[in-house]
Amino acid sequence: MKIAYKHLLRFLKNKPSIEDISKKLFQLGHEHEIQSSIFDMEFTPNRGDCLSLLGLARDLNVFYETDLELNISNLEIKKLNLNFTNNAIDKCPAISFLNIQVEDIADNYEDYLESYFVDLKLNKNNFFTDISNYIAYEMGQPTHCYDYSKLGEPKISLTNEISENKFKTLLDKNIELDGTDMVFSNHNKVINLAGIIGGMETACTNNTNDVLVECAYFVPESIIGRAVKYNVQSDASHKFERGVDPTIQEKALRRFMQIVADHAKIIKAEIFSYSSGNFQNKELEINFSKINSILGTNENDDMYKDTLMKLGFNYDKCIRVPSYRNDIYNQNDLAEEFARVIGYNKIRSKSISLPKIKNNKLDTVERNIKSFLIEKGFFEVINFPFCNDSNKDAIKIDNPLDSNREYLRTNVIDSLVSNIIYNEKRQKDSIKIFEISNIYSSTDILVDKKLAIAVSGRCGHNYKDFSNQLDKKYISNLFEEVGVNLDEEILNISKDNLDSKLKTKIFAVELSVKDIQENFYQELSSYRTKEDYAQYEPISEFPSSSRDLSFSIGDSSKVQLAIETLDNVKPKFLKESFMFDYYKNNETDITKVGYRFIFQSHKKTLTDSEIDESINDIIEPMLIIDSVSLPGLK
Amino acid sequence: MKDSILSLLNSFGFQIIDGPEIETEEYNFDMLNIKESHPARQMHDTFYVNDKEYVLRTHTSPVQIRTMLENKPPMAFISSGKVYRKDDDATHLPMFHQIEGIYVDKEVNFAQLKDLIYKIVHSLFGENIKLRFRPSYFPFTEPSAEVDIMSKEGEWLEILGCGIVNPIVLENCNICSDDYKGLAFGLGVERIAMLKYGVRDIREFYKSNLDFLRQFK
Repeated sequence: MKIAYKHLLRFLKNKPSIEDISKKLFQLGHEHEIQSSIFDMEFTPNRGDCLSLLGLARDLNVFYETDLELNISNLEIKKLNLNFTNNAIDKCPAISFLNIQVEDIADNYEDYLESYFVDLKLNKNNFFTDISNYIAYEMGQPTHCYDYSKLGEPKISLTNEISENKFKTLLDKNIELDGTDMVFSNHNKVINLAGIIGGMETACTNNTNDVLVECAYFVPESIIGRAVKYNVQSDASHKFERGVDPTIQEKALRRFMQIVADHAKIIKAEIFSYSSGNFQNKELEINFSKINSILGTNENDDMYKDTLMKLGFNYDKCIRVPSYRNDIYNQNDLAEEFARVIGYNKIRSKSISLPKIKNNKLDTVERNIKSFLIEKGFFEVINFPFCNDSNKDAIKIDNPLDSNREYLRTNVIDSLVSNIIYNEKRQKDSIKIFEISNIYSSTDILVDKKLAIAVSGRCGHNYKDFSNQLDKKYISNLFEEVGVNLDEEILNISKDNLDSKLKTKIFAVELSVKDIQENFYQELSSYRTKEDYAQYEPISEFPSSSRDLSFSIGDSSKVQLAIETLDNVKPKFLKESFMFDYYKNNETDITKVGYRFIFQSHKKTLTDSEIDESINDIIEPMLIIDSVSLPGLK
Repeated sequence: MKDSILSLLNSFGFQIIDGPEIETEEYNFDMLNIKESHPARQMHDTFYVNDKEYVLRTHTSPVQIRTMLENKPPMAFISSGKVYRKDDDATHLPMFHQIEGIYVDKEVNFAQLKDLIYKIVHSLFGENIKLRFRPSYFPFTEPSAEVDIMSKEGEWLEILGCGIVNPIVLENCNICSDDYKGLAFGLGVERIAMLKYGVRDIREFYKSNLDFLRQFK
């Protein structure tokens, strides 16, 4: 919600600076940004009472001297004889109507009204709607204006029953009503989606001079979710959902009348008010020692009393909660009020020591499995559980994100296969991944924690593993190390229906963790701690390119130097390098080392000439070393 | 990241507990004072399954509820795991990992909660990190706070939520709120990892890109 600093100052006698107010608002928990002297406020959902100039000023009253009185018409107003039936008293226990007829509307608005539109850069609509919008801004109470001449002889009902389901909003949007919503109807025709938005048919225009203003209190639960349901943006529903003051409907209409009077000659004004009268102020026990025990503070009673008064609470034999505070129910709620006023950051922390617990051990099974696999060069992946596989065990989501994510997966392997294809497309030629995840089945919502692993491509990038492919035997040997015998369970995944051009095979296995947990004995000590992680390096989505270089080293005493040089060289765009081949001919004493260099840019796809330049930066220092040559180099 | 936070909290004396990811509305919402009218319960915010019989848990708090019902205070628990929200955009994922802690005892207060949060944040980000508490709103805690840390660029960044357990929640778990109080906190594991390691896009965690995973191996 946007609130102009200038408008807020009308209520604050000492005219504090915008910076000072901003600081106090943060202390009170009212987050905001400031742009051009406008507070863009973001209130927590329990503070509907703050969704107005008056509400915010009321909260700031704990820090500043304020004048919260509004100029309200005190004229005696005739009773409006309105044919109105409230069939939803439980949802709307208080409602008032004002019929007001005017002539000679002023050409220009008074400063306070004009600046509302100018300072907040809002468009004007028509005289009555403009006042209605201003009242919502100033007092937090939505009102709705019907052009009286369009109502005929009004026969208004607040009801859930509708005779037709088509409704056009005053913003020209057609809505199909489903018959479950509370509406205002006139002669059985829907004229207002109650608490959300009015209808086009009875909307005011610049020609309106006779208006019926409706001002209601709706129980928040009766409004919540309805604007979203019909995809309607509505300030009124936002306020009703968070709760308006149930006792100010007539007051708001009197303020409306005052603003009309400031701009036009009123020739008729009549008011109708209904209230179920069940709005007793909530009462809470006075128990300041309890407040101190919740906060861990030692504030004296006078501070608490003073704060309560400034926040609008009454205080005698008990604490009476003001009608606009629908978020205060118990001593903890009061404690939060005091904490906000003291300042969360000013409450001094007190040393905490938790009691010794009986079972203070971490569950190490899952960690041991992870530790073992990570040590074997595997990467842990985490996948979303959503899929479109509708097998009989799959749990169906009632409200999926889309039709491709309608079910919960019934296996982990499918996700891992997708992960492998994803990485293959990023030029990865040695992929070893695993995932541990709960898998649910629709039968009684059974859960089973699964470990799945999948491998594809080369066994590794070092020269011993480079030419060997990951296969069924690799997985089988891996599990044998921890005493788990696998064979038939290991799958060779067909690539026939996969989006992959590579011929490398995918092998995978999925097991219940409970079936293997006894055998994983690896100690946690091999698990890397958080301090080992470096600052994250962003990932490039541009393709990488690789070049292989095979050096010949004639003097065996220079081999170490040559390898160190290759390991340490850092040409431009180099992402990764590794030795994939090593061969020493004992007869000739010549050693050959093969290195693969992978280049990638974060900004573009590299050209051959850019890679060639980097390759030259690798070759040059190598050729300086005695007896090193690059066979085939022109 | 999750394991290192759990180890840390375990060393403080929190017992690690586990529970189902598919929950009833009663445990996921009602017991936590999240009323039927609360926006979080709407179909556009929560995944429902089996004709609205269950929800994919939106937080790990129901695990704590189940454990509180089975135990007597004093008690200190940590629940962790996957949670689900019906969101999917650049800054929100439909699934992420959460760690939540609760401590219930006779003498528990907001000042102690602050001490605990300082210990957690200092362990994660170092003793020199600046942090602040802001008033916030959660139906299950009162008072509620959000905690921010100061980034290297001088910006305040939100890292966790916490508060004193709402007495309504204690009573729902058959714990007398006149005799006992509780403190609670919850944090998103991905968010902590993003702040700690400078990951800018939360979606990176779920792409399975080996170039990304290699940095956290």
